Amino acid sequence: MSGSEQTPEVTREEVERLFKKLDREAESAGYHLNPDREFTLGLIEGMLVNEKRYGYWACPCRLASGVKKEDLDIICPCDYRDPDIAQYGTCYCGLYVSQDIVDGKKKPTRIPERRPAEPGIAPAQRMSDTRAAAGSKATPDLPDLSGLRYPLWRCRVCGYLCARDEPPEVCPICRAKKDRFERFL
Amino acid sequence: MWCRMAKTLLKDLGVGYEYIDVDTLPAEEKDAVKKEIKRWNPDGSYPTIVINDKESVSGFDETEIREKIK
Repeated sequence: MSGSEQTPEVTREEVERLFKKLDREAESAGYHLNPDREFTLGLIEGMLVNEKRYGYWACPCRLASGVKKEDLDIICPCDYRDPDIAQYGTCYCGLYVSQDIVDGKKKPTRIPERRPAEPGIAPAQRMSDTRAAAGSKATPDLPDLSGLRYPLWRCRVCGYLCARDEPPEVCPICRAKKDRFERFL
Repeated sequence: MWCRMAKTLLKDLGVGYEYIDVDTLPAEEKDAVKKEIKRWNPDGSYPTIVINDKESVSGFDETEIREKIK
């Protein structure tokens, strides 16, 4: 097609290197990559293509806008991974799976898209939709916390909470970057 | 990856098909194609497979594709 972009080249070595890193980080935090190695390598290749194309690891199975602010919720690991693993045993693209799938007790399948379809919804809005979709309760009535000595930050990917002036550079649990944290309290 | 698997399946089944890799389209064409995809698949998920301009399969579901292609 005329005017269409070239798909950036990614070498097998780059893919293998990132696979090793993600596998190590996942296992150390209680997550698991899909045990179908070739499938997983294919997804990682897609992430690397997206990194070269957009500058970040946009989900290889979703269409990124190319504007980081709009794509934040689908940068791998995405905001929807954990609720999807909990409900279906796999994330949307199938890169991360549950222990049952690793053990072969369950097979990964196509799962519905948890991300709202309407473009232009801010990730914060999307997140509350996600919570609603996951069936968990909205924030209950909060006691007066104005006396808190530090703000509380929440990782939108894994839910890790920390009380400090600013969120950490990288989430110590799921490795999501600082810009994936939201002010919780 | 699911798109790749869908292409492989269609090839294995010996079915003729055309495809568009939406992520490689220039911005001005992307919106038109996305609209067309939503007509068949309101989720706008990939791959969306349209069969003989009559029915479609949203996402890669091998059983559903085999069923509808018969």
